[in-house]
Amino acid sequence: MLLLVLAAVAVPVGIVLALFVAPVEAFQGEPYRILYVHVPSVATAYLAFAVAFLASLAYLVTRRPRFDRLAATSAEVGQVFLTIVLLTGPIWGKPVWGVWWTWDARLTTALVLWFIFAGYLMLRAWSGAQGARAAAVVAIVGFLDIPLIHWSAVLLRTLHPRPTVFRPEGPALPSSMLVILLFNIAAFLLTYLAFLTARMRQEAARERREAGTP
Amino acid sequence: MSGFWALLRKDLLVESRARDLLPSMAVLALLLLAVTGAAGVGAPGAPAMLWVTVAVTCALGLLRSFQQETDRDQLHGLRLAGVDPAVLYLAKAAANFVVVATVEIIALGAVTVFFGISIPPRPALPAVLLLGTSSLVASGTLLGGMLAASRMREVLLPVLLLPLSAPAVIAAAGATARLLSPEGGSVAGEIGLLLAFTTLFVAVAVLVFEHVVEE
Repeated sequence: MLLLVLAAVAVPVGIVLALFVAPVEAFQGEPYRILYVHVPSVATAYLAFAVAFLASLAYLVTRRPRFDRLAATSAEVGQVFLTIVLLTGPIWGKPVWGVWWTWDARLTTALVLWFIFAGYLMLRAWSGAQGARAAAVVAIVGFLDIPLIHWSAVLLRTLHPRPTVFRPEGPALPSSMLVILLFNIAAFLLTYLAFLTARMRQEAARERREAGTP
Repeated sequence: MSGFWALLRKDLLVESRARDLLPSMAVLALLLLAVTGAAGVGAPGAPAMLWVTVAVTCALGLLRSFQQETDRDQLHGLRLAGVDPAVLYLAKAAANFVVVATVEIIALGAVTVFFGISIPPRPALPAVLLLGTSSLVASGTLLGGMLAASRMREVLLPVLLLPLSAPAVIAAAGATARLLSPEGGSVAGEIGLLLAFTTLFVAVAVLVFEHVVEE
């Protein structure tokens, strides 16, 4: 509940900051502001899938239902954020690059990953409890596939801007932008946690109710 | 490991007698290539079309190799006979490899005809073909085994196999394109990737197969 309130406050604040407080970018102009939604969504989505990966491993090893629930809900919430990434990306790309889409490494990886977890969610929806172990394997190989997808697309071509934040040398954004970006990342992570815990409680209640019926 | 050879022999024997998997996959592959060629895809698109075709054909055909075993509970029999699930996977994968490699050679022939390309004698090309096949078969056999008992398996196998094998398809297509071009070039990166992909899926399969193959 507290998480939900915090997230509900942090996200609008972050959006106001992004739209009105952040300075205008030199080369891209106003459209760059979508970065404050796009980048936090990317970070949250990949984190969510990493959690799903680890929870799936834990489930296969320990067989505790809690881990299976965590994997499923984290994948579900992650998929929502990844969808936001794939929608905001082209909206940003069209005015700035002139095209809606390219087959650059980052875009290809995000899109293929979206399909992998769409398949994962379909598998869960159609197989129920028996599908839990199969789903865990899909989440595991799906996550491990990420560097391979990226690498395969790099071997083909690359256009996405070089990283300006997540780089080994440290971020290249001016601090005014970086602060707002970090705030938005935190707001999105709060949202992820709020959804995750709410869904986990929901799934636990559903399982208890199903176990209760003869 | 003696179980491996017995299982492999059994699967190849069943296929050689039934003669349904290989012909249907081959016809499907030829059909896909024919339609895309007729629809206007030219020589530049040929390498990608080859690999997408093989991938789709695998996605639709590889279920068959496990359906044999679930139809009459043969999996139970195999477990009772003390067959190690990892060996079962490896034998299935090997049998599938033979079938898919055959389909691929047929498809390659069709590609040269339908898309009007010639094949320069480059030694790396067979390596790319073999490793692309092994990648698709390693992942397809794992998923096929996992989904054999699922009621939505005909939809789920393509929906899961195609994105998961995307890096292999992309790498194989890129390498094939480079090897078919007049200048040629190094495909070491792609071969490394295909090797890594195959290894990843075989390793995961050997580790988890007994936990995911159920009735």
